[in-house]
Amino acid sequence: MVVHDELELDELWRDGLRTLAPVPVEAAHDRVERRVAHRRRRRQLVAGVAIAVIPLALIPVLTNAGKAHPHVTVAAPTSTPMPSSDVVSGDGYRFSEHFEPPIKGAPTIAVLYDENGLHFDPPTVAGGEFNVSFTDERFDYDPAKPSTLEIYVTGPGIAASVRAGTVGGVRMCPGAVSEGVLVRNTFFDLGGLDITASPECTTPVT
Amino acid sequence: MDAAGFDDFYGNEYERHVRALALVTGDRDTARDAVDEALARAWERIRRGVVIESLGAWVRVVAMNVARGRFRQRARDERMRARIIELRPQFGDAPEAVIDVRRALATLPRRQREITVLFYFLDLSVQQIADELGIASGTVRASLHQARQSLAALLSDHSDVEVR
Repeated sequence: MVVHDELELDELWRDGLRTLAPVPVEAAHDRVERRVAHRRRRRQLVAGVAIAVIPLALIPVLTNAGKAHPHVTVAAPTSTPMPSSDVVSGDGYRFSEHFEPPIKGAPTIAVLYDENGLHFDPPTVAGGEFNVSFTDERFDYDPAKPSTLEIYVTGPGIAASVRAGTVGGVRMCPGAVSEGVLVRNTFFDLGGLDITASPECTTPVT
Repeated sequence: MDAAGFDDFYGNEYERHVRALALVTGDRDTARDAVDEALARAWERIRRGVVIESLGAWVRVVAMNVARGRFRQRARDERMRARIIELRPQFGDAPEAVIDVRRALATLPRRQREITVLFYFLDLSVQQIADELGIASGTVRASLHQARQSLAALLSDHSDVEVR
């Protein structure tokens, strides 16, 4: 009978992992610098693109004015636009989620969320049907509390919800009013997506 | 933390961290990419004036989260396990015990695998691991116990073994 005690098992683990751990083959410094430069260019690109967004402060007005947003529920209706900061904090506002399965054959918009905010790739699309892939890469992201990307659009009045790590189908035409990441119904970050006119979008933008 | 701190990290810590993450994910390229991304984010913060007290700890947490995001949800751990079982010894043939370690590593759930690598490969203390992962030190100890049990069970597959 061979008996292993904890110390022996610990040593086997240490030796085994040291033997198995693959050694990186390239120098890191230049590669990380290129990555920093790439991230900077990407942010500049996103910031430089015209964002087809009506200020968030208008959401209560739009939703109270009619039925243009059937998937948006305003918990504390008001005819006075709140300051953007209040809307962003989510005070008094709740938005119901609206998930749709991926659309076969539709192009993909990759949405990345990190410490620098939301990044849309591509940042500009012609209106139509899309599969939105949403990834949350914040360093403190907790998969147990998945964040949800919410995209609100006028025109056909669709609110699209895509949970982190998933892909959702959505029809988007010009006139996106806002987009943001929700965690537990709290708005806390915004990004930019520009939707241009296309033959697929025949519904007038409201 | 400044540019000199980064140089220190590249010289003394970078390789160790890539290797550790490769043990968790089973893939060297994913590990390298995740550590690079973590360093890039750290550098951006430092340039904005954010103070990072321990670059190593910060990079470990961020890189593990980034690596997790590279694999999609349910398929994530299965793919990691499949890659771990393909890991080859860096030099020469693998002794039987190393093969058992590899199999034991692949059987552990992701969180236990992370804890095992942080403890045995990066030599972090139980308390350091608990602090970095935001979990109780008892959870860390329980995971290490599970790791030992998993390895002992594999050893006993091909010898008459008892864990004391």
